[in-house]
Parts: sequence; C-alpha cells; structure tokens
Amino acid sequence: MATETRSESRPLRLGVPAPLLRFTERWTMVGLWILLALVFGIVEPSKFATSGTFKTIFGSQTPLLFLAMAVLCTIMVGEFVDLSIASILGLAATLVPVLTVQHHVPFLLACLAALAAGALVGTVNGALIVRLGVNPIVVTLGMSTLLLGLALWSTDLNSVSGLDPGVSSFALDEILGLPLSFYYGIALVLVVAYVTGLTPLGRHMRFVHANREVARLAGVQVDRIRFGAFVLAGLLSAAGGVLLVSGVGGFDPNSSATYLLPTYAAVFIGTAVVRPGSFNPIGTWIGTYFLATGVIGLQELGLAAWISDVFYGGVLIVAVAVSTVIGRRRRG
Amino acid sequence: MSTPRLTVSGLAKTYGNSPVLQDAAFEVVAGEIHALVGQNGSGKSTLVKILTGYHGADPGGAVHVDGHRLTLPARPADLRRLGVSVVHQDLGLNAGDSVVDNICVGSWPRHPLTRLIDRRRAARQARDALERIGEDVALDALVGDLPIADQVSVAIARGVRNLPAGGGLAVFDESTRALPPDSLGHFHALTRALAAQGTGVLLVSHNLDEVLDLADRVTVLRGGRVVEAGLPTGGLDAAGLTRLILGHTLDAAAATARPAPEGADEVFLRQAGGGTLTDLSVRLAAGEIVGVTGLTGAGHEDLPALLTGARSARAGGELRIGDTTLDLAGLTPRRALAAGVHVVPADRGRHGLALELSIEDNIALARLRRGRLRPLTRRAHRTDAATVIEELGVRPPLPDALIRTLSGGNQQKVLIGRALLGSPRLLVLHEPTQAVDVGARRDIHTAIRRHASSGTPVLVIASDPAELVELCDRIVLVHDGRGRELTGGRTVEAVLDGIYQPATPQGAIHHGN
Repeated sequence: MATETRSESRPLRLGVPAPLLRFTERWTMVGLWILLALVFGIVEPSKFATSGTFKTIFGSQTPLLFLAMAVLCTIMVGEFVDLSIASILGLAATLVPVLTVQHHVPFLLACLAALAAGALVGTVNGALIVRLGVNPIVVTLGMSTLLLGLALWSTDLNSVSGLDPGVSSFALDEILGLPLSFYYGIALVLVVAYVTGLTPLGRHMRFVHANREVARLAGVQVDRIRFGAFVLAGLLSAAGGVLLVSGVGGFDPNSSATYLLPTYAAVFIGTAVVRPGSFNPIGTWIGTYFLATGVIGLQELGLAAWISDVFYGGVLIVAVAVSTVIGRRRRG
Repeated sequence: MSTPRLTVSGLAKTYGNSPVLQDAAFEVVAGEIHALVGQNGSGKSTLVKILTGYHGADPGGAVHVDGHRLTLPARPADLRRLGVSVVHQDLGLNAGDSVVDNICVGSWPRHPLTRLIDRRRAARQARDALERIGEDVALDALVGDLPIADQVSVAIARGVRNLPAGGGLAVFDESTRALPPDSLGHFHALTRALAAQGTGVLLVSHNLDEVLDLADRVTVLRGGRVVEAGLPTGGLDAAGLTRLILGHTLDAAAATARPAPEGADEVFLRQAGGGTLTDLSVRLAAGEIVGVTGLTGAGHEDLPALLTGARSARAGGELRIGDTTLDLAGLTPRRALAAGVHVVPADRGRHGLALELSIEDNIALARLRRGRLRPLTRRAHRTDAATVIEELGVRPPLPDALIRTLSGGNQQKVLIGRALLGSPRLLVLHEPTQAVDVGARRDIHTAIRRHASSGTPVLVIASDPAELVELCDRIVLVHDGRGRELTGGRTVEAVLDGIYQPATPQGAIHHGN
C-alpha cells in the first residue's frame, strides 16, 4: 500500500496541458472515424461518398446496437461474458417469420412472443448464474448452442422468409433520409446512457461492478441487479432480432453467430471514447458505426467478404489493448 | 553446539515503500519447538511466506537451513532438498482425495522411464511417513471421511515425508486454527514426538495457550520487527506474552469524561452470537463510546459482520435502538442500514471502498437508496464529498481522485466520513485506525468524538489497548465468545491484564434481563 499521497492527474507528458490530453483521450476515436471516412471518400469517391453508402452505414446497424446494449447491461454489472445474446437475436428473428408465415399468427403477437422468449432465456441465464452460481461462460455458451439448435429445428434447418413487406414499415420508413430503426437505436442508447449515467440505479450498477461486497454491505441489492441485467440483455437481444427480421423479411438461423464478435468489438471500442477506460453506451454507439464504416468501406474498395472478419477481429484486439493501457495510466 | 536447523538473519520485506518486515533474525535449533507469534500486521505471515517460498525478500537478508543457504525466493525443490516442510493453515488437506494422494501431492514418486505415477511406491512412502509419527491410517480412505484426529496425522505425515530422519525443519503455519479442542492433544503429542526425534519445529500460532504449552522458545514480532528472539517460555505466562505481542503505549492519556447528551437513543445489544461469538451483551447510552476487544479468535472480530447483517445465518441475539428492535438472525445489510446501523469494516479494500472509483463516487454510495430511476443531482454529491473532505481533512482534497491513489489513512477517512454522513443511530467501527499514520489517527478520533458528543452511540471493536483507552468511555472484554465489562481503571495495563482472564460469573453481564 502506498504511504504517500499522490494526486490523481499524472505528471504531464511532453508538456501537453492536462485538459488537452484528456480531450485527446476522449475523442481520438471520433477523429479516427472521420479520418477513415475521408480516406475511403478520397480513394473511392464514386462508390463510398454517396448517399447510398451513408444510408447503408447508418441504416443497417440497429440490431447490432441492440445486441451491444444488451452486452453492456451485463458488463456494467461485472458479468463479462454473455455469449448467448447472438443466439437470442437469432431465435427471435426466426420465431417471428415462423409464427406468422407458417402458423399464421398475427405479426404483432409473433413479435411479442419473440420478445417474451428473449426475456425468458435471460431469466434462465440469470437464475443459473446469479441464484445458483454456475459459471457464466458455461451457461451462456451452452445456451447459445441450445438456442441455435431450437431455431434450426423450428425452421427445419432452412432459412425462413416471406414476411409481409408491409410490416417492415415500422422499421424502414424514412425520416430525413434515414430509416426509423436508426432512431430507435439512438433512443435506446440515450435511455441506457440516462439510466447508467445519471440515476441511482446506474451508480448501484457501477458499485456492483467495482466491488460486489462493498455494494452489498452498503445495502445495494446486488443479486437483484445482476439478475435484472441478464433478463434485460435477453429482452434487448430479442428486440434486435425482431427489428432485424422485420426489415429484411426473413432470416437464416445459421447466420446468428456472426453477430457475436462485432457486438463485443463495438462495446470494447466504446471504452476508448467519451469515458476512456470504462464501458459506456455513447462510446458503444460510436464504436458500432465506426466498425460499420470500416467494413462497408473496405468492401466497396473491392475486397472480398473475408475483410470484415479481419477488420472486426483486428479492431477488437487493438481497441482492448488501447483501453487497457489508458486504464492503467489513469489508475496510476 | 551443533548448527541450528534454521537461521534467519537480516530478513526484510518492503511493499511499495512501506516496510512490513525489517531486519528479522532468530534461530531454531534441533529438537526444539519454536513458536512465532505476533498480531495481524506484525510481519509474521510475511516472514512465514518468505520461508515457505510464497514471497521473495529484500536483498541483504539470509535464511540458512542446517547451515546451507536457501536461495530466495525459495523454490519448492530447494525446500524439499534442504528438508523444510510446511503444514498449512487448517491442515491444508483436500477432503475429496485419498490419504495417499494427500500425503504425496507435490512430489509423486514416478517411474524412471514412463514418468507415470508409481502408485505402489507412493503408497509405501505414505505408509512410511505415517509410521514415522507412529500412526496407522487406512491409505485409500478419503480424507474427508476420516475423524479429525486422523486428518491431523495425515497432515503431519505429509510434512514429515520429505524430512530426513531425525532432522529437517517442519513449519506449522496456523495448522490448528480450526481444530476442535479435543483433537489438539493429539496434534500436540505428534508435534512433541517429531521434535524429540531431532526435527526443528517452527510453530506459527495465534493460540497463546498452545504456544506456552507446546513451545520451548518463542520469537515475538511487532510492527514488522522482532522484539524478542528465542525467549524461553519457561518464565512466561499468558499475560506476559500478550504484553510482548501488543506492546506498551504509555503516552495514551485517558479520554476526558464528557457529559451525556440528551434526547438521543439508548442502544442495547443483547446476547449477540454468531461465528466464534457466543454471548455478548452491551448497553450504550446516548453519545457513549464503548470499546470491545479480546485476543485474536475470542469472537469480538465477528461482531461487525453480525451487526451489518453480512453473516446472518447462524447469528442470534437482538439489537435495540430506541424503540426499534432488530433480530440479528434475520438481519440483512439493507435492514441494518434502514435502522440506522452504520458499520465501518476493518478490511477497507474488500468490504469498505471501491478502489477503482473516485472519492465522490464512494461517498455517494451513502445516499443512493432512494428514487432508483430519478436523476441524481450532481450538486448534492459534490456537497457530500466536500463535507467529508473538510470534516476529516482528506488529502488530496480532490473529489475526483481515485481511492486507490490515496494513502491508507486517507482511505480510512473517506470510509468513516461516509458512515458519519448517513447520520447513524449506532456507529460501529472495526479497527478504525488500523494501518493508519499518527496524524490521520488523530483526525479520525476527533471526528468520532465529535459525533459521539452530538448523541451518536459508538461501538469500537479494536485490538490496540492504547486506542481503546484513548477513545472509549467503557471497555468490554471478550473471552471465548463471551463478553464482560472491564472494571476498575481504564488503563492500558488494566486492558492487558483483563484481556487474557476468562470471564468470571460475577463479572459477566450477559445474563442481564
């Protein structure tokens, strides 16, 4: 234990004033994002610098954003891995067309069923992890595989499609050139930012993350908060699935796993923005669109589909490394 | 005279820039049982951890075993070669494995070619080890199924297996802490027999009866230094040994008597039990500061956890604050806080503060229980943080400073300041100035007294007699889980004398009401 007292702000490096250093730390990622867009715009102006690309980037990421907010819910209370979220999205995106197209259930009812399924899965996760203390990696990995299997069973191993194009209007109708789902994403991020940043519940979550025992002794209902995080993660993932399938009209359950890594990449990139070193929803929003810009830009440069895997994986590692270093420096 | 089994000289260990062990030196000779005693924080466990290879040491110190220098940090292979073995805390056995597995773990006999475990040779080694201490235990039985006495034998046999016959050094590191009293005799007999064969035994123990009964000589650590090296136990009694362990602080002046404030609640803790505490009753008048103390393991250390509701399962007793009565058995942290019981735990880093969050965030935890989804007002938090920083003199006075960048004393100020902010109806402090420098200690005492004189009853659970005498109006001594009031003069001497004596019926107050 250190005996002498140290001030929080570290000795200044390279003579840079502290506020500027903090500003740089906070917003470098946004600068990189703009730089990335500029580079693509200059290299491939005819393809990248178009309103179509703009729409693709900002219109297609909402399901991913819902997943990222789901992951954030659990990470912010100290549960680092919920591997089941992508499969919950897949299950929801499968259930909606299966119920409406094959079983003629009204669309709205099918959506509610999908959301209920997501919340139920979250409840089971929470019960196993929080109440019984089972290892969360094992629970959510198992749940992920189990749900994928169930989704495939419900579709007889095929992809499902044929949703009435009319139902897509609540996701795809445009305001100011961007689909509604974009605004849903923003609304969700703002709500999460409000709850986690400004309310007692958000502070409780931070304490549950920082030191569970301290939180418990201070009267915080630690287990209830952790349990709630898993249920909410399930619900949000399912909501992402509902939005996804209503926009596209159909879904292939096998593709759900491809949503997992980009989600974690976006969440971790988020730790390099706004509040460097800690998980935060606005940072995650920026991270999501940063990734989309990079992947879509690279694809338009003519690179094949493998580039998205390389990009997502590479950026994830770099982002985590950078935020680890920043975090260590801030802690001193 | 032959070479000592163990020679420690000039041994030191520093964490960051705080020395926890300085210039330690003592010897264990062949055939003796040598006890090592000291308070928590005396450097005793650090010393043992250096000997057993868990920690390295600062350069300059030396450890010799039978005249051979031990390279630090000690490696298991070297320890084995030199004949040093350890019986760990609470015997260190794995209940789900067999006797052979428990004895041979760490150094299995292996087939020279295939490197497979040689089960037959392992069984023979285990049997030999048990024979050496004159015991006979079924080799393939699961340790968890054995009676405690046999488990003791297995643990010691494991320690003995790698010792050269009639030589070597056996370290017993709080091995008997959780043993039931009736199996202690067996443990002691085996230990004596081992020493009689010529093995040196280093006995690390909190149990002073055990030390006086079993050990030939004792080395006492206090504040990171050896204060007595190899003192023969012949002329010692428990009170004398306690005095050596705790030390004297003669400058502690008795606290000035204060008039009892009016209008505040009286608190009555009745027949509290749980953990090792069996029966403790304390009555606190408004504004009274009452100290609770005892030897390590007496039970008083369990009191804070009982009063926070952190350990409710086996608790009993009740706590009355004014008209409110709390049943300790069903207490939860929320209920305790709702009733106005604020507990400052001894372990800041684990139970008190979130080290990675700021001063302001940690203080805000005191006020977070209302209106879950309504927005927080930043200004209220700023005011709270400023109040605590001002009242206790936290340095640096920066609300955004992370707790882990503060010194121990300033961390403790934040923790106590937060508890005071909640306007407690009963304030419970566990080791309020542990590992805190003199200046911070004075600031903390001043703040506690100020709140007491405004009517808050304060319960202080501490092990330093000087602190209790300085801070408290009355002192309750706990022995074997039972409490009794310290009668007569409130001096360091009186506490030291009383701390060891078992409760006597006329002194006990636990039958009240």
